[in-house]
Amino acid sequence: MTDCPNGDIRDLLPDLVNDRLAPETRAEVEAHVASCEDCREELALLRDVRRSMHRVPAVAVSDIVRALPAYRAPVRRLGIGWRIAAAALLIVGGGTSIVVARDEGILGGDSANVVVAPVVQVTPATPAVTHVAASDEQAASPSRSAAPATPTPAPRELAVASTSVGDLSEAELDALVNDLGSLDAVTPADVDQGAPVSPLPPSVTSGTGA
Amino acid sequence: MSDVAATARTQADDPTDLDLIARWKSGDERAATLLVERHAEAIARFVTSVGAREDVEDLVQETFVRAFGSLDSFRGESSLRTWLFTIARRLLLDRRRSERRRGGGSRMAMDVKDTDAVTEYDPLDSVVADETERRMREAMARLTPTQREVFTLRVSEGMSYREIAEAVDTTEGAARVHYHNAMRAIKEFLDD
Repeated sequence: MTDCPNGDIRDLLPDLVNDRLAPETRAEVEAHVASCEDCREELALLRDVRRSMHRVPAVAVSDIVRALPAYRAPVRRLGIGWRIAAAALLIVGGGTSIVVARDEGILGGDSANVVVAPVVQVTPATPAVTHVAASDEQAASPSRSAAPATPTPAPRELAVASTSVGDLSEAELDALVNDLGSLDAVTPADVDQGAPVSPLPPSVTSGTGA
Repeated sequence: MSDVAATARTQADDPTDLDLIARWKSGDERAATLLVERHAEAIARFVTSVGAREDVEDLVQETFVRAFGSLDSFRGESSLRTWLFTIARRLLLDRRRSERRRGGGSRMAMDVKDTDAVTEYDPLDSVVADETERRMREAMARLTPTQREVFTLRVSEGMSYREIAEAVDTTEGAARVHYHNAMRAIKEFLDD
């Protein structure tokens, strides 16, 4: 048994056996086979092989179907937006606020930038967060602030509002230090959960662009 | 009857695999039956042709159980049947490996390695038909496992080289080479 030199036609013989050729291609292949003894022999061989392969024991469909698992829809994980919204709700629910600090030496160098006192004010249905700077009154009232100020190693400003510590008056600095020192004592019960927190007076927020 | 009505009727009479999968996910158990009816025989042919013996039905069932257990990962980028062949093939390989580890007698002649050209492949003892078929099976037995897989999918199922490449984890070009090498080997055996 020899091979027909027309490789393209030979490649299509299994498709002819399985009736998977478009009408035009099928006609072309059949015309070639009609004039090519090698292809006729190969086609007959393919049909014999296919016939032998199709002799298989019957499969009990009902048994297989009974063994199938019930469909379980995949559990979708909450997206990042929902997680942010949930976190915001948690913060509002607890009535806490967050204070984020500045780069190195909060009380020391001229380059020290502040101290942001973003107070979260969120409506429950959305993850939107409004940052409001802390006021003197707030500094004297620990109940308005929650998160501790954390010195950061790089000049990284995390907040919407920042200013130089050097711009603050002694009284403002004292109030700020007192405020930071009392953060650990803040509890949800200390916080007025009803009213939004007032923004800082211009003396503290000036130049922040917030 | 309008064209739209005729089209709707055709789709209802002959739903696609993806249609049936969607119906099964929404609770239509009849859709699962239709899918199994549509593909079970082809899976049985494949696992038989590549070496499964008396555990053919078990392999077919396990193939469907695994497939239905992870249908959400089926994106429809290939045909469902190609995906089922892929699962069946992996099951065969896994069973073959575990039998080797146990050191017990193999009920399957299919080998994991492609280097063993000749195996004791003879899966159709119980359905021997005639001399021609016996010769065909003997010829197939002389193929490498990969040649046998490719040749079976090409000749028995009429799959394209691209589909075969996906099912047996090879390239389209390699599948074509495997097919023609298999054909040459079979011809040489039958000419002897």
